[in-house]
Amino acid sequence: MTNAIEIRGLCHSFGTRPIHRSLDLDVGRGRIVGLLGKNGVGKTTLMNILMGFLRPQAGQCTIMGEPSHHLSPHTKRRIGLLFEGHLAYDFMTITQIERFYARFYLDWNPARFFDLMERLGLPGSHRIRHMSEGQRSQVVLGLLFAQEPDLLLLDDYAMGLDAGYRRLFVDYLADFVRDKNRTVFMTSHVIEDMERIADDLVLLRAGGDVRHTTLKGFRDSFHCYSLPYDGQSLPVADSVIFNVERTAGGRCEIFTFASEQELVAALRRQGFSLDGLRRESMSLEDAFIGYTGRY
Amino acid sequence: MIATIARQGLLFVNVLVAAVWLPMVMNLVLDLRNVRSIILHSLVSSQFLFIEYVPYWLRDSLTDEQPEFREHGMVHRTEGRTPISRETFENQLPFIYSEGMRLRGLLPVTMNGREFDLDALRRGKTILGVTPADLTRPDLYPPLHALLDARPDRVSLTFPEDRFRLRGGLEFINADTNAPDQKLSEVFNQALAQAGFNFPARAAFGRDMILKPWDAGWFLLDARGGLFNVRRLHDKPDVRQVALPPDSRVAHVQAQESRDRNMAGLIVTADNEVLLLLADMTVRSLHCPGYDPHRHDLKVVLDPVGETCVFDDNSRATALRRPTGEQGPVTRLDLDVPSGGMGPGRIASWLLTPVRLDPTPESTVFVDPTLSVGGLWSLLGSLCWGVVGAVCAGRGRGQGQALSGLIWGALGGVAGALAAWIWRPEA
Amino acid sequence: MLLALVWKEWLKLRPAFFVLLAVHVAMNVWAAAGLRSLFSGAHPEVLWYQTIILGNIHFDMLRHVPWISGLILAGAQHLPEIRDKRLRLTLHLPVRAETAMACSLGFGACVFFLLAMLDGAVIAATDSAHYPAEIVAIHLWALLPMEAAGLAAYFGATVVFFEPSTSRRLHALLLTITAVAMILVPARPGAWSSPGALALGLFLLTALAMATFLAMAHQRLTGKNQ
Repeated sequence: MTNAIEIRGLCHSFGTRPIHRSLDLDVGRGRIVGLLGKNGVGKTTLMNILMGFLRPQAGQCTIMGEPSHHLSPHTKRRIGLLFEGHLAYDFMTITQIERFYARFYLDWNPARFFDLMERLGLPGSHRIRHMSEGQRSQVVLGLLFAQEPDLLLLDDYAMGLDAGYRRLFVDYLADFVRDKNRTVFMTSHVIEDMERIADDLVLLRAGGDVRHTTLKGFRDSFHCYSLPYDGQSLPVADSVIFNVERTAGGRCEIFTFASEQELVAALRRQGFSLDGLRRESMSLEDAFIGYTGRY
Repeated sequence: MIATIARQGLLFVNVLVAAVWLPMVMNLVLDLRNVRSIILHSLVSSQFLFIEYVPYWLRDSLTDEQPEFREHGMVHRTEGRTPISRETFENQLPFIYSEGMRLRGLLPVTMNGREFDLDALRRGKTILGVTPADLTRPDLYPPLHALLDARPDRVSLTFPEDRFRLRGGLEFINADTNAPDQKLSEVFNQALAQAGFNFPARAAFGRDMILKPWDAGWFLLDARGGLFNVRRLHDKPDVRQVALPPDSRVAHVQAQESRDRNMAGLIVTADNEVLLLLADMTVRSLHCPGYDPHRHDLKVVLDPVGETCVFDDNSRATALRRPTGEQGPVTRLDLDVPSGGMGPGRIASWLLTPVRLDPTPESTVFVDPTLSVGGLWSLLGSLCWGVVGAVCAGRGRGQGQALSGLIWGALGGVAGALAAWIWRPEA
Repeated sequence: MLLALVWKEWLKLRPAFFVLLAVHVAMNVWAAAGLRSLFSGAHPEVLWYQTIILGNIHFDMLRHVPWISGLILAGAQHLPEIRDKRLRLTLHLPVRAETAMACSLGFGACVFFLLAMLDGAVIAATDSAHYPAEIVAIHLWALLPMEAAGLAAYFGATVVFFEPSTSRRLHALLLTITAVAMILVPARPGAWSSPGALALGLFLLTALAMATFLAMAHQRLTGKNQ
């Protein structure tokens, strides 16, 4: 089995609003994949389906070769889930929660957990419900790593975390994942973290549009050009021009996967002057916004 | 698999609780009271008189000149179904309404050539009765019985300090010490043995209360079906055998001491015969053909001239009148109870809940869940809601769910169909 | 693993259990004191009459304690799991969902039984000092529907907590209320000792217990997880 996750023909809608249309997606073992998209395009829906809490209306979703909403206990043991909001049994203390989870995982590595707890600096009798979100995220991270999973599904790991905790999380995750070639599938609104850690990106747009690409490939192929904007008309998206956004300072940004020559030809076809056309450098966040569009 | 079994179990629970509560709600909302008719015999007019409750769906059938005789749906009638006023009704039943007649200045009254004043009317009437619940009561109550000291030299009865239970013979338990009183037990068991009682005792019947005119003691059934009366007089046993007719098997003894001290109660046999138990422990057969002790309430009204047996259930009432001494013709009246019939409200109720469950039926003191159906209307309701359930539950879910919806709709009516739809599996 | 699951349930239930234990002890002490007071102020044979014939029981104040206890136990046990989708934590444990549910339900039911046994033991012990065995037995039969209503409330509330669909939750709530009301229908002490009544009660409790597994199975379908 080379793929940790395989999705075939996934369809799901809420009422009459389609979220996923015949989605096909493979996540190879050892890859770190970031799922990106604006609010409401289906990231949470896809994560819920992958985590096995939502049954899709059509299609198949397999995790380690098993249907995602019918995982065997053996397979569940190999999967680490991080839920949005860093959910944990908040009625337990630090010591209790480690003792509880240790009973379920044969490869339980307490050193990973207690290493992080040492950094936390709280006594073992400290109850989780009395912790801040950041402190709780550290506990959840410790439990996740101690489990030694082969696959990690992380749903918005950055939610509620300040920059310090986020950086700690990403650094730990990067080291943990490289060791033993683990697979990660994660969502986040913090795009710069993806830049630090992700191998691949899955970009979702409204209506079920999906693009699965490597991070490098996306950065290399998706470009941004800017053009003066006279307030009258903007270039229109077509087979060459992917997206156009107005910016401050009397310019518009044109996003494309095509070469500069092809873009120039497309702009000419649409009757636009090329005066002032220039290529812009983009961070991953800029590219993401350019790809998904601003509100 | 577990989910499937759990779903069917839940739908069954739904049917059960709906079968209990929905009919109650509908009875309340649709005013489906079941009021039994009361039949009495009048010595004044030598006929049966009765009171019946006319439910609202039948009131239109009453003619215009009758409204003044109708009080909250209750109508008083003669045997020929002629409506009469309440006052006329009462005036023809002096043994029952003697006080009212006194107030109206109608006493003394002459009946069958005899004059009766207030005192004579009070003394002349004895009413005994037994209900289906009475037959089960001995099984429910803790089998500890108070054998009162039936001292005729005392005005009122008092509870003894002990109670007896049947352990082969009688075993008295003293309430002060909460321990057996061996001595007292031996005395009474010896007396029973001397009277011919065959141990072990199988059952005990009596009236465990002190608010009665006198105490007839307890009636014990021995191992061979013989019935013995045991009383306590100054702490000493008084045992007599009841003179049962040959081949009579006692099912129940309803001890009811009459005010005139002549009658001790009623005996119901296994063949549904009713015997009047007299204070001297002889019996007299009463005329009650058709009486079913497990279904009917029985009332026996005795007056100086004759005896009237009335037995009824929710749908039918029967009265039989026989002159004293078993001479003379037996007259009979059979009535349908109007509120027991199928009016539009009851039809709607059966259509909505074709199967009913009564956890505490009138026929027993136990919680004894009893199913009932309403004939053709239940069948129609089952068919209708079965189809609705099949369609609602089965749409897009396959034949299995359609069958499930059909079954629960048929059994549970509207509630069953609704539940089958709510709990159908995801598509 | 099973021990760990049971331990988790104990951690949640511990505070509520001790509070309920105190409440049950207090109510039983009150009932026992009331019984003692009755017997010191009246003739025993009159009190025997009142309980045998009139059906009076000295512990009638306990009538609503069991079903309230059942609700509190269910709330204490399950609310921490269903708040903010925390149920996903349990659903992802490497055990079958039915196993997790069985441990949870079984432990909760055992805790309830402990409280019920306490009630029964205290009533039997205090009754035995004043009443013969027949009356002790009828009092225990009178206690039975009260405790059964408590267990029904516990199972029913569990279904309501775990069922993700709003319409089914409402229906389950209605079923629980009507089932508990049916068990608590006014009846003489001992009225539930008939075979039909016992069968009905047992079936209601079994079906409600099994329905919790159905509710749990629905957790994998809608993404709500409460």
